[in-house]
Amino acid sequence: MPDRDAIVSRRAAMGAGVRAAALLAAGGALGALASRAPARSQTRWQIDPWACTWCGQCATECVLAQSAVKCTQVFPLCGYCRLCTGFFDAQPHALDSGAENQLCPTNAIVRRHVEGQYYEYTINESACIGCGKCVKGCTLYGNGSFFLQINHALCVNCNQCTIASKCPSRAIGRVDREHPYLLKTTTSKPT
Amino acid sequence: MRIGSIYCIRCAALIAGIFLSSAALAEQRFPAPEFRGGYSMPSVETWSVTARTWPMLDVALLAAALGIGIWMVHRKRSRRWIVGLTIACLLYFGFWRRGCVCPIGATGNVAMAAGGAYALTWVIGLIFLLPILVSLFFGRIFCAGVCPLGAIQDLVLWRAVHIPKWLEHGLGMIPWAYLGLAALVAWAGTDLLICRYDPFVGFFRFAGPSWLLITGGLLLVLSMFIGRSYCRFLCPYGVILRCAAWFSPRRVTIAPTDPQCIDCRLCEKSCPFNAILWPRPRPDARGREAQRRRVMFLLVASIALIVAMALLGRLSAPALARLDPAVALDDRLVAEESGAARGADLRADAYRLQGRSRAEVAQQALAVRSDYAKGSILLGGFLGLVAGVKLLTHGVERQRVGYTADPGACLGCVRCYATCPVPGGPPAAAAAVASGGRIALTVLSGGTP
Repeated sequence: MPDRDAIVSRRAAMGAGVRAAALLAAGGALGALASRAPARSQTRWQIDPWACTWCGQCATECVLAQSAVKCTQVFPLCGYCRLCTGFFDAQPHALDSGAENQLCPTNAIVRRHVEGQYYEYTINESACIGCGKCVKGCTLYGNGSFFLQINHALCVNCNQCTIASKCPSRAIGRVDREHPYLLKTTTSKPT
Repeated sequence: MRIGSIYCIRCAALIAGIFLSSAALAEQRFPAPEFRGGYSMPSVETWSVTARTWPMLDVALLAAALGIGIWMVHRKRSRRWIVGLTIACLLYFGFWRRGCVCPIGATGNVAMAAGGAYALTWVIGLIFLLPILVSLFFGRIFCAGVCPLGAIQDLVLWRAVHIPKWLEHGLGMIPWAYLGLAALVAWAGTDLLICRYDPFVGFFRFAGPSWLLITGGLLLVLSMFIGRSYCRFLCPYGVILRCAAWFSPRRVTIAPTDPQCIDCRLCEKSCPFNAILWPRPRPDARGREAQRRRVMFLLVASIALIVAMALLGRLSAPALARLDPAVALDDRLVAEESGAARGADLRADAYRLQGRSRAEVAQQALAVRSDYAKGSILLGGFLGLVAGVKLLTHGVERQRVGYTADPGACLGCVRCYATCPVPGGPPAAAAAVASGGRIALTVLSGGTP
């Protein structure tokens, strides 16, 4: 019959064996997984503007009280239209910035006359809630110079972005931290 | 209205255009103007990444906190010091770093990387591994004072209610199921469930979905009485640490000088987490024979359980696969094609707007379904194995000397240390021994002499 010391030492040996095996397995698995990783050390979440379908969930699904998703205006793509389909409601009573004429629910787009028939549209970041109403109007009927991007000064970079989980277009993915914006440079999708 | 009608005509023409060329959503519809009046175009605004994250610093601080925790639990043996560590870690890993990335959530990253849908970085790999390695040698130090989720619950613990052991073990199966499910869903590349359903991260950010904040609040209220209820009955990372801690050579030893337990049971009452094991005599010859038969039966039963659970897993694969958006979209489209589904659906609408082909969606869904078919068999088998091992460990009645901390269940809070009256322990309790011996102890522990 084994005495208590023998049992204790047997258990200790077993424990040591398990620890060694676990260390080897953990080191091996981690090494294998990390060796597959590209050189980039960190990622951020970003919206692919070509995949986005402006469903409006960015405004409500972010964990922050005010969504980190904001509208971006890429001026070189903008047509500077007098009747901007991103700014105006489908049936505006007049082409001015009256609330009843605007698509934007928070008056976050500043419309400024430049010259002749041309008007400049600038996003007021602090008012924008990322609902994408202007993006829909601009993309469907205009040049698509309005599009949604995640503002990295606000985003807390959750391990799992809740908007990404809810996004029906699956437009949100991880990008390199060094290049955290996916800005449009053309008005049609590059192939 | 004049403007309205012009707009409508333009819209109609453009919509027609979109349907004609569904590949490109946006075209150069309005050429960029050539300004004559010296207009300078503003630059496109982007916002730099907020510089509040230094990933290697986080790893270093995690390692340092674990190191300090080891010293506090095993050397300093002081609850007060551990509370200090708990508060410091709650403030840094919780409120300052806003709870992300934590080792609990990193479990999902590791599983997702194993599935190939994600590239694991060294930082997240280390954050996942460090607490496990420490647990393998020193017990659950991470749970003791480093984990912000454990900290927020531990600090609200007010009056511990002891729940029966059978309930403790029964509820203890939930984290295993959660771990298995979260690992499967992450492995298939669907989602990181542990992060999305973290009930306390909303408090760290002072923002979150209301239902999750309410759940977190309810868990905190529960934790006032049933200590650290999330840790014990939900935390999927806790069960990994629990397994590692079983094999740790350095354990929480209640009596300062081993093995001089005097069976006073003071520590048992002090433990809010039901983690104290009672002494048990060595079974006699008849007991050992009964035990041998019991173990044989349980072994066979465990194998049957694993097979049954694997089958059950296979049966639940289609339902689990529906968690994935690709499968959910395919199901919706199938339902629409058969006329079973009507009305708006965000996912189906997005699919139509993107102009993807039906075959591509079907192919993606098929690949995900086959992943879930394989993974759910493993998940079922894994849960069967866990249940089997749990049954076996309860079937074997090993001899135990004195009251000891269960290395798996012990969270290393060291509340029990202060209650142990064995000489070398705290002076107050030792004085009680010196003056009245066991009678005083019995009174002290709430019994009648």
